[in-house]
Amino acid sequence: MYLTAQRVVAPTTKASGINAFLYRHGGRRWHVPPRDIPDREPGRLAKKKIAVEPPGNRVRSYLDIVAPDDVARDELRDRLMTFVRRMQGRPFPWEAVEGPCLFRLGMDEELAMAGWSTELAALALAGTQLLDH
Amino acid sequence: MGSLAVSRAQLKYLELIAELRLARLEHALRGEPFTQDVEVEYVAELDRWWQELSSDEQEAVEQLLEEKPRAPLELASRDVAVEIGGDAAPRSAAA
Repeated sequence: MYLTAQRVVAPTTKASGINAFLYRHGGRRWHVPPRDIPDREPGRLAKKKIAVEPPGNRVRSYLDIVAPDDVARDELRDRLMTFVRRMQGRPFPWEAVEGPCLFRLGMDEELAMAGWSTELAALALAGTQLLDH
Repeated sequence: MGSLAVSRAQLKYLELIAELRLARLEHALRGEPFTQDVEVEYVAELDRWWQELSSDEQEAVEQLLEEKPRAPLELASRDVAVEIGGDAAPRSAAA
């Protein structure tokens, strides 16, 4: 799966919110994240949660997760925390592979200064809500 | 900071700050509240190490904590409309 959450701001109304998307890959399985996902092959959009209607909104932050469809929530959270421990203190954007998962986190300076970990939690929770139903 | 060397107490203090941030994050990801009881333990430990620092060391730590995270002023991406079943990515590089 490719799970992504992104905070966007509308250019005219300045409305801001987090949009989340869950893509599936027709039963593809992997032990290391395939190189074509998500940039060349995002997959088929299976679910989305829209706070600010696209298109054309400016993206202020994003969290990308590429992971096997059957990954357990606890494992995903543990791998995300390992990713954060490895990357904290480095300049954004962050990108790293943790086992069968790829994580990418980017945000603008204002969000990073206000609290990158708070923003990451907001993105992760918005994204993982799509795994609940 | 007059020297690039970091004392053990400074290092410990900075490590505790990082641990506190990660603990808060992990609780948030679990959907669990970060209780005052847990926070108090960190604060007590932070206080203990803070008292170990000289005033110069405290000033140096404060400067380190005030450093801006390195991030772009603005991301060069715009979002894209994508329908269920579609295979387009939800954002693209801004024109």
